[in-house]
Amino acid sequence: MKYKDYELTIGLEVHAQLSTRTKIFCSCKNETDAEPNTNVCPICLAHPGTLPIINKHAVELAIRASLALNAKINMRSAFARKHYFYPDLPKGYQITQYKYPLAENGYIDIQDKRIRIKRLHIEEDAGKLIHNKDATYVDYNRAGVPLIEIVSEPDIHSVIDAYRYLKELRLILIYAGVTHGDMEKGEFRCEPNISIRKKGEPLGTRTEIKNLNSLKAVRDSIAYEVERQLKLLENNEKVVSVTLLYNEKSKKTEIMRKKETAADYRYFPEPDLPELILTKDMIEKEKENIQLLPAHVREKYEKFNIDKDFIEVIVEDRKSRQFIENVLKVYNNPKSVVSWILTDMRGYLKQTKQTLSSFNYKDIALLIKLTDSKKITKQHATKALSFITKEHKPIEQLLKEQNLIIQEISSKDKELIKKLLSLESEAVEKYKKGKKGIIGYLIGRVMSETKGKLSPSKVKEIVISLLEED
Amino acid sequence: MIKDYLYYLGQIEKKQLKPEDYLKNILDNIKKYENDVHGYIEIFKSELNVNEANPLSHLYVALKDNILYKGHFQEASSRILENYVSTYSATVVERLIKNGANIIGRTNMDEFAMGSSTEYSRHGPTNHPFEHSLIPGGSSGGSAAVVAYGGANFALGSDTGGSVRQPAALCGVVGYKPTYGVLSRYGLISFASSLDTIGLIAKSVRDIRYVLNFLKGKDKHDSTSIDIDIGKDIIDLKHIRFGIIKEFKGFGDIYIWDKFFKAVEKIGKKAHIEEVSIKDIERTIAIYEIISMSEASSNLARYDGIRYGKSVKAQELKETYMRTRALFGKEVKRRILMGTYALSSENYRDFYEKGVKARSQFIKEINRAFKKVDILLSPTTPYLPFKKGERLKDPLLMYKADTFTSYANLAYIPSITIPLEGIYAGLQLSAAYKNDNLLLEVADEIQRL
Repeated sequence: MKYKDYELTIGLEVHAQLSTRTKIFCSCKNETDAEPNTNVCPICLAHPGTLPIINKHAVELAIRASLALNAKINMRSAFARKHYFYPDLPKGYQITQYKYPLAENGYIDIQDKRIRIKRLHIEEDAGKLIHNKDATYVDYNRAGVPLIEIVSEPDIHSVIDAYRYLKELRLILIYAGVTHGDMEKGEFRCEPNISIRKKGEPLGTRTEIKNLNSLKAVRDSIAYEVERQLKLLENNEKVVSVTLLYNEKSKKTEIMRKKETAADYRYFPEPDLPELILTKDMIEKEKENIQLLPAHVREKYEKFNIDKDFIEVIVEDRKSRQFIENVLKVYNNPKSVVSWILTDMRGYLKQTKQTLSSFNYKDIALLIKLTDSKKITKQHATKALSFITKEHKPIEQLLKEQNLIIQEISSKDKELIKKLLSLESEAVEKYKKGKKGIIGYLIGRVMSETKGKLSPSKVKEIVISLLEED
Repeated sequence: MIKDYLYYLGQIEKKQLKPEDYLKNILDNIKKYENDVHGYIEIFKSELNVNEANPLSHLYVALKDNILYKGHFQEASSRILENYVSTYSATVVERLIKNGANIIGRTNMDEFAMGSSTEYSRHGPTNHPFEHSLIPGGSSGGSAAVVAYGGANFALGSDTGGSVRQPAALCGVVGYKPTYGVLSRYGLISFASSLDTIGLIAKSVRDIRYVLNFLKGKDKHDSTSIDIDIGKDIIDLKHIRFGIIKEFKGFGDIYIWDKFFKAVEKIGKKAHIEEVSIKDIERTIAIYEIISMSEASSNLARYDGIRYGKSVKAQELKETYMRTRALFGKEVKRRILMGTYALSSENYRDFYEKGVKARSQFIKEINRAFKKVDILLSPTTPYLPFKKGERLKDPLLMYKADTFTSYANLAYIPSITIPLEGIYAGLQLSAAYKNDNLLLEVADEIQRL
């Protein structure tokens, strides 16, 4: 932070939609992007006389999330009602957990830091307002979608840590199969609160930012808000407790509402739901359901001595990871497989706007193997990507047909090289005078003349021996 | 011999009574009384079926206006739910219909079941079935009145603090509040969720026990519902220990106490009766008021004019809320305000939390009493039916109607009222949690004495 006398504290409240088949208190589909108000029933519309029934799978996923976040699970927890009036909240209260959350005291590690998690609890999502020119509409498809809320301890003191915490939290929850985690769709949402104090003083006034639908927006909005608060403090002005909206276009936060009086949510225990009592079996079952976490993937690839940046790509991108894992089953050379797929192949895919899914991992494994054993050049391996998906022939046959297989150097080739060298007398002279670097140019000439069919290292051997001969 | 539903069912089975004549008799009673009583809001005459041979055939059930019946209006007698049509049926209604019962109509009530006289209704008051200038009790006044005059042979009401037992007593019929959870609340318009039970009204205890068997038990739509056994144990009253609640003695009308002790005397000839003291039971009404109003303020938050029911449109959202919610009647508003106050962060500790603590303390007290006795006895109401309009200006006096009844709701225990002879009041019997079977057996025996 650029102003040394200050300390920044960021609190993060994260909401993740659980990937259940149905909503948390009724049997409507948990599918928020359907046609508005098609996944609704008397219960989630809060018709008179309806009662909530807890979705067991939502509880299971919340347990799983708690385990993945190293939190202490409360064998007894309870639901409460949180009251406020808003059109997207059908009952006039949200069913949440208040005094007795599902889990407490967790943590996640981000690089060298440990960020503690204060609590994790289960609650229901609200509907969504849709503003039109003429009116405001409410879509209740989202009302009653199961959520977990995860609240961090005030351990985050920089924007980058906030960013890393969120990124890792999201990955952990996705790995555990708890949420789909798509931020654009609102499946993973974050509301940061930011306060700045002079070192040694009590915590400053907090402001809260809403409407963030990407990690980048979270990072940029916090950075903007930090600057805004610092400016106020430097000018001896007060930070006012406000809720801010982030405008992704202008990259600025705007004041949504002032919190003049603290909202009184009138929490009280939900009388329609009994206490949530867990069994050891439920927890054991969820332990088994966590098969892989980001940390496991990192550990595995670190053992292969793979570049840190590559590892992060593998951790974050499930499709790449699965593809690489498949390729490794056929050709177990992690270093070259990872590097080729994530550089050469990735570049090609980007250029041609294709995805990994159009390729058979066995073909790719073979291509990398052939490259490693110097049967084809790296460039030709990339070139092969353009036709191996179109033709249903064995890949080696295709490569031969396309003349991409590196050939043994024949006496005829040797003659050709000799001839080429004689035409490049100027370069040869330079080489002999000690400018050894020019050999690259000479090899290039041979390679282009032979259309890359020869092994560059073999060519180099021959060129050197011919040059030294004289 | 009480001419109850089971009596007529026997006659029909023995072909001594034609089903259609039985129904005609009920409809004739409606014709005769309804204009003066105004117990029904609506009668589903064209939907009635006389010829089925199911366990509950020829049962003509009057439904309180807060129990949902698919495709029918349900308004909780409130302007805010004017013309609301149920999109599903309450579990108890489903179970009634599945077993061949008929829903004969929906009955008048105090708005959202908040009241003790059936005067707070958007449809106007219901009158006492036999003394038309008096109130029938409430809030299930319509249900009790129509069973009393023979306009239905069975009725469903709701009992949050006495709303079934109290009008049943004042109308001279049997009213039963089961152990909390025995009858599913799914489809009952919530007043106070931790106290609400659906209650049954009939001419006899045995009718109630018979029908209860088809309605009771766990429901997948209500996670607070429970199973109990209703068997047919032969009970000899001489093995039953009765306890008169000491703290209630002397409170209320002396005529009621006089008749109460006459009934006690009769029971005393067969059984052991003693006096039991239950600390603070006479003050449970205060706990009841705090908890019921707090929960009501929450349960009624959904009536906001956005998704269903009546909506008063305005330019601003807040204005829409305020104008729509202004449709609630005075008593409902009063309770929402008091409940909101009791739950506010400033007052939570002094009111709601204290109320909850006092409730669990009281449950310990009453459990102690049930170690000494099997059945608690008291009058059902402290007062006889009073004149219409008399207490509308004195809500605190009105609330006292629940003095003898609300403790059973607080303790989740079963309680029943049977008529006292020669007076519009009832004898109330309560049993320990889940002891509904014992309670019904004993009440049946006593009703036959």
